[in-house]
Amino acid sequence: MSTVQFGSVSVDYGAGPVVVDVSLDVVEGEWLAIVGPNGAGKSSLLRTIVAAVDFTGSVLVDGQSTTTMGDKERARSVAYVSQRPVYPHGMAVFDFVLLGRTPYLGTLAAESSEDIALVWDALSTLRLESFAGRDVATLSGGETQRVSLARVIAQHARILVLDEATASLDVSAQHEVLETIDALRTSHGMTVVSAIHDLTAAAQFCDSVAILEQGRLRSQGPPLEVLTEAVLQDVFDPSIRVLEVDGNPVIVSLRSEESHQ
Amino acid sequence: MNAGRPAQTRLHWWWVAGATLALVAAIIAGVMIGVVDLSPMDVVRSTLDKVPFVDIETGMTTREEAILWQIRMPRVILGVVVGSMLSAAGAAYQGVFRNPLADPYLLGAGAGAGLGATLAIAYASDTADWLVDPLPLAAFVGAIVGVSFAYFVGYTVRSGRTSVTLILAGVSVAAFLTAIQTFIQQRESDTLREVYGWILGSLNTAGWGEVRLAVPYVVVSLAVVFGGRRLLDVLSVGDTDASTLGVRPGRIRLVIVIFATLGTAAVVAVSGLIGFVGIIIPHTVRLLTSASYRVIVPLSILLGGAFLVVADIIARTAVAPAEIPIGVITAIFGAPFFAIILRTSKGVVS
Repeated sequence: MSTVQFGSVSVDYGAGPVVVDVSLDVVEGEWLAIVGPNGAGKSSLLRTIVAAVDFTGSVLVDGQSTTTMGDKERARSVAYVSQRPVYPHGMAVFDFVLLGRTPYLGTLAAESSEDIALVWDALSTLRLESFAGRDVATLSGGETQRVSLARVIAQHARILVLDEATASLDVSAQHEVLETIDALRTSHGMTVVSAIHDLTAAAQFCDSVAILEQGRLRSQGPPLEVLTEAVLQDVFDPSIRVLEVDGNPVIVSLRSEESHQ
Repeated sequence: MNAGRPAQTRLHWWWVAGATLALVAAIIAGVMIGVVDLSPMDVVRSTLDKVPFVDIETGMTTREEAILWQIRMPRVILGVVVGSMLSAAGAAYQGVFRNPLADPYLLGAGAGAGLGATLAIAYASDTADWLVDPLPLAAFVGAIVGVSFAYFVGYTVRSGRTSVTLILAGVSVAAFLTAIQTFIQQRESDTLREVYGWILGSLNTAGWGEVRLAVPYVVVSLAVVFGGRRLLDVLSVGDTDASTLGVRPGRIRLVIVIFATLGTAAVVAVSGLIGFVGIIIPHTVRLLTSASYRVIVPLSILLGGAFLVVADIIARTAVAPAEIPIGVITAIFGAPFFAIILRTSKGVVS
């Protein structure tokens, strides 16, 4: 079982609430996209899953509260890729992926040959073996995202939390990373929760979409039911149009006639 | 399937062997070189003679034996202890604060020790009948109090406990303590020379007593920093990522800082404020070998000791019989050396 249940979750950093009373279930094996305008509380909601922010309410991972789980126990269940991961200068790709084994090691223990083998497996899954000795800080955006995903594989967590993981990538790199995540979800039986700005990608890749607006849950359900033109125009901007190309929804913002003149 | 780590991420045996060789060579040079030159073979023979159940004719006069074992050896060993400790503490501080400019004095250990030493020199000058020498004790306590004060200020910041707030707290505490120290120094200007000499650091008072005083703290401190080298790598991806990997960055930082400070305070107490070692040695190792603390920590321990022993040889022989403060030597020779490494290396200072 690998599920996430948010029960009346609220987050307040002291300057007013950023997440307000959100209740939401993520079922096993599904990919849930959390969408919403900047500042809607997407990242804060995701960070409650890894207990990286203080919050009220409850977040259950496989039925267990994330705040009462041990740090290592939680890290064995949930892997997290932040919005702007730090790729330390000079750190080899191999060492970066090896960090994924941290939750399985005692405080002063060194990695075993099994840990080393698991890192090679993870690198192999993402075709990164030839990058093993490269400086992680010198890779391109798409390559670093794959390295982050390799660390997720090495971490052996069943729940993957992604915070805008593809935001800084060009169209083809973004598509490749999203396909990789989807393949991992199937091959490794993962449940994915991701904040995502690209509404078209959310509609095409995710099983379920939750819209956050000013910290509150506006709606949740299958993409085609939730990402309607009326709702998106209300939440984001009146310029939004939902088109259909080869049966897939394509969500774009159209410039108005007045702006052209 | 591939076996083992890629070559770029290993702590190669020849790096360890080379650094160990450098340390041994520095120790031998350190005990040989001086006003009275001792032959390297005599030094080796006399050392073997000290090994239990070994009895070798050393070929040295009693006076030479005394120079070797009462004067030079404790000084060289103290150089190793101080250099290793400051380098390891520097690496540890750079790791826990993810800041290349971090050194062992960052959180007020230097300023606190400076104030403690100044107080001892200015107000406890007549210490002939004292049970313990107040100078190292005051410096030790000053260093611990300085860092504790910085930690207290940094951890009560309302906006959040981050490594940056801790560094800023350290900077303000250091400025505050230095101001008091300068004030006292100015009021008691007859002690100016002694205070100034202490602040620049020296190993010239070294005897076995100083070695015995510092070694227990240094051994414990080095063991903790060495044991925590993998965790320093985990912290390098930032606090949020590190916490999602199942560690507690704040707790690791606290433990490492406590033990690095303890060792630093102990060596500062017996050698004064020797600067620059804690910055250049870990960075030189990083630039020449690897950015992983698994490599940086052990090699810094070995090379830091070697570097300080060599610096001390220059300090006591360049203008003999006078001595140059060792802090001056570490900077004069260390800075250009480090600049060359920085210019020619392909490595990166993060």
